[in-house]
Amino acid sequence: MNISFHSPVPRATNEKSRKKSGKRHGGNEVDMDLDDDHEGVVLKDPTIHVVTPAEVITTDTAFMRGHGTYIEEEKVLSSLAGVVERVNKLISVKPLHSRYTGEIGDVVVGRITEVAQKRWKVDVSARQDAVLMLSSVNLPGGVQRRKQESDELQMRNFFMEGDLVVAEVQAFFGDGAYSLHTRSLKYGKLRNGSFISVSPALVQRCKSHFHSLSCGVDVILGLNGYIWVSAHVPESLDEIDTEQVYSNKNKDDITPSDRESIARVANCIRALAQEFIFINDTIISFAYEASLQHALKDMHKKEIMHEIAVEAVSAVDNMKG
Amino acid sequence: MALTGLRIDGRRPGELRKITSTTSVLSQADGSAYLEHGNTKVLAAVYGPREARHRALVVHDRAILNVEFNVAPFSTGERRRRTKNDKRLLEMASFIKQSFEPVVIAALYPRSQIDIYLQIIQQDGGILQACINAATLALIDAGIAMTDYVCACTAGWVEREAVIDLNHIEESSDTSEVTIAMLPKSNKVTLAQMESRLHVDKLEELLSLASEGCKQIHQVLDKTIRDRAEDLAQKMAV
Amino acid sequence: MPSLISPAERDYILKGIECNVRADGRQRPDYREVTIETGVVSQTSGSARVRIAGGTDVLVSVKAEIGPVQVDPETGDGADKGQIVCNVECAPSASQQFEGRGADDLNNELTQMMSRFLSHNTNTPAHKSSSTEAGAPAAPAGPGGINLSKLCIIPGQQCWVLFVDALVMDYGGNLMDAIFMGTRAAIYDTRIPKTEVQDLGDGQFEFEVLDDAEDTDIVEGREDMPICVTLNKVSDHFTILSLE
Repeated sequence: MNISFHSPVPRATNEKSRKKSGKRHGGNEVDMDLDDDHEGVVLKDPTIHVVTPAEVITTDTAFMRGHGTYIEEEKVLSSLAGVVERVNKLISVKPLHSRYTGEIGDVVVGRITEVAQKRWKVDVSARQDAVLMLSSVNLPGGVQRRKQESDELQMRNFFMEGDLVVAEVQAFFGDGAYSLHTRSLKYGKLRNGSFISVSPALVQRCKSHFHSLSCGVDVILGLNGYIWVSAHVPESLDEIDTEQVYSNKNKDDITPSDRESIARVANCIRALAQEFIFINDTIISFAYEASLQHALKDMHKKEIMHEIAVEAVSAVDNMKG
Repeated sequence: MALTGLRIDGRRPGELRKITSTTSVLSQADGSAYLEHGNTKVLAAVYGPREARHRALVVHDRAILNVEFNVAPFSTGERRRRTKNDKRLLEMASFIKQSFEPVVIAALYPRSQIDIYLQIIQQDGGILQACINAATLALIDAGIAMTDYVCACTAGWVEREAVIDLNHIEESSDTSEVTIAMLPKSNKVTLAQMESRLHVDKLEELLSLASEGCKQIHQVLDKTIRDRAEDLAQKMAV
Repeated sequence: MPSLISPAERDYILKGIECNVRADGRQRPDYREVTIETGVVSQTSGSARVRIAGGTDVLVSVKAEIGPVQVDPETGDGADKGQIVCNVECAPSASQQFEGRGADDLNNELTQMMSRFLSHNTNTPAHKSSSTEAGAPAAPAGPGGINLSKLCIIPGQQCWVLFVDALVMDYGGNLMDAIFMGTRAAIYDTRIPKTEVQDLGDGQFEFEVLDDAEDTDIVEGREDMPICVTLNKVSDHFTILSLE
């Protein structure tokens, strides 16, 4: 039998490493600053910087804390799991998944949940229902008409519970709730199509959120993740037709092929959302192209949705060069 | 405890069972997580922050937290159905609520409500710890601001040895067991729960063992969250 | 399920069904993609998880336990039969509407529906006579297809009770179909330990449950179990199959 003896490991190295780890375990401030890159990872990594709750984003006191962060012992820490965003000295963390947090001027799609005193409550996927004041809508019979008591009594004739509207964020209330307005002909009640809800993070701020795709389908990309896909309606700035704004009637000439296109676009958006890909008019068009090789009814199969999304992404990449 | 120093399921005293977890598993909820802690399986769903359901509950400067805890009738060895008003379930819900209240930054969400729904699918000891860990994941998945993770772990005396993460058999053999929920960053404890007799001298050891367990659990949870976040961030960057 | 929907949306969906192009692109008789897994909960005798693309996620478990037989006091029926006990629970995680007691009505309704299909003893004369002829061919099955007589261990005393528990974890329409599919799959997955009955004389019996994981019984009649396809005459928000 062979018995081999190993020479003992030199004590010195052992001691050293233990010392080092012990020191780090103590975790006093000086040590941590040395360990952490003083620059903060944000600046070092130009690509995506993902953080999780309670992670130190930077120890540099020159930075200001933005959304999704908090300060403890002069360090900026993340309170969310998401991507670090830096604008000059302002550091914020954008969550990948959350309710809608809006800005003034955002185009949103919402659903009326309640008719109250001189106002409607609107679900916009935010942490509270938004408010649409009676005074913030255009009433039939002239844009500049004064509101009367009779208008208050017939508010349900304009919008009732369940109705979908597209509106703009006008202001914030003290408690953070949004105030909306529909004082433009492009805003108002939604008709002639179907509704999809995706994660708000997926809809980017763009110049326009109203798109007419080449396949004859209109899409409204609400920044709150609510999306309306509908049959194309030719734009008319006919002032006389303000009665129409509050009509519940869909147009009569939606053909089955129109419906198929709408369903196809809607399914493309669902496919992109499933794969967590940014949604804008370009990628929807590419996804639509990619989807044409599949039967419409197969489009809710997971593999096919994945395929369509992947193809759309590569098409966008090609376009960018 | 066998002579080898191994426990009934082959673990060492300070060893956790295998933890696997996934987030965003439900379509309707704002955030959700499924967590397996050994053979204990929990599903957590978070709704909110959303418009408070009952006007009377609205608090003007912060969100209210609401926890519901349910046990599937088939989750135990013997089938057992519990009603929604079971005192034990309500007590668990209140434990979970208390352990999250100091961590969720509720002041960011005035006048709203955050709901945490927990569903036990299978139990094999350590239900409370699994629920808290799953709820942490679901809250982060919902994008709700928290100052830290909340990680929970149990420790107990099994046959004169301090062990962590007790399974059902170890739990049922008349052990003194303590569950703690801890914030790994600050080492603060938000919950310590014990329902049996234990000599005060031994408590210290149990607590330190459990807090070690919490740290290990933190790493597992953080990996789940980070992997998912990185994956999504990559996809979105395309 | 009351969920808010605008008149324009309703009209769009209805008209879509009329011309056979539904809002999600399916035609009237198209089913959504269904995924079924079995053997998902280890502490049960059988289990299955059914997912319908679009959200619905249901976990069904079957637990076989031994209990006394239940005899109908009026007809005297049931002495030679096992039992099936159904229970449906909608977890609040599935939908905002199931919070608190919000799901109670739906739970009761679905539980009753399942019980009616699976466990109601029919009182047909053929049924009664079968108990007298031992080993009669093709013992009549219950309405749910399952052969309840085979679940009996000692007539008049002990039988197997199959607890069928469905847990709705996520709700995206068409619960009933999912529950029935899940139940059938879970029953298919179910293995019941074999039992050995000893006759001690004087009408006394004793039995032993054989603890052999390899050698178990299946639930007889599982091939005849119903599945359910929901047809909606008028469309609703979550219609799967709609016929006009």
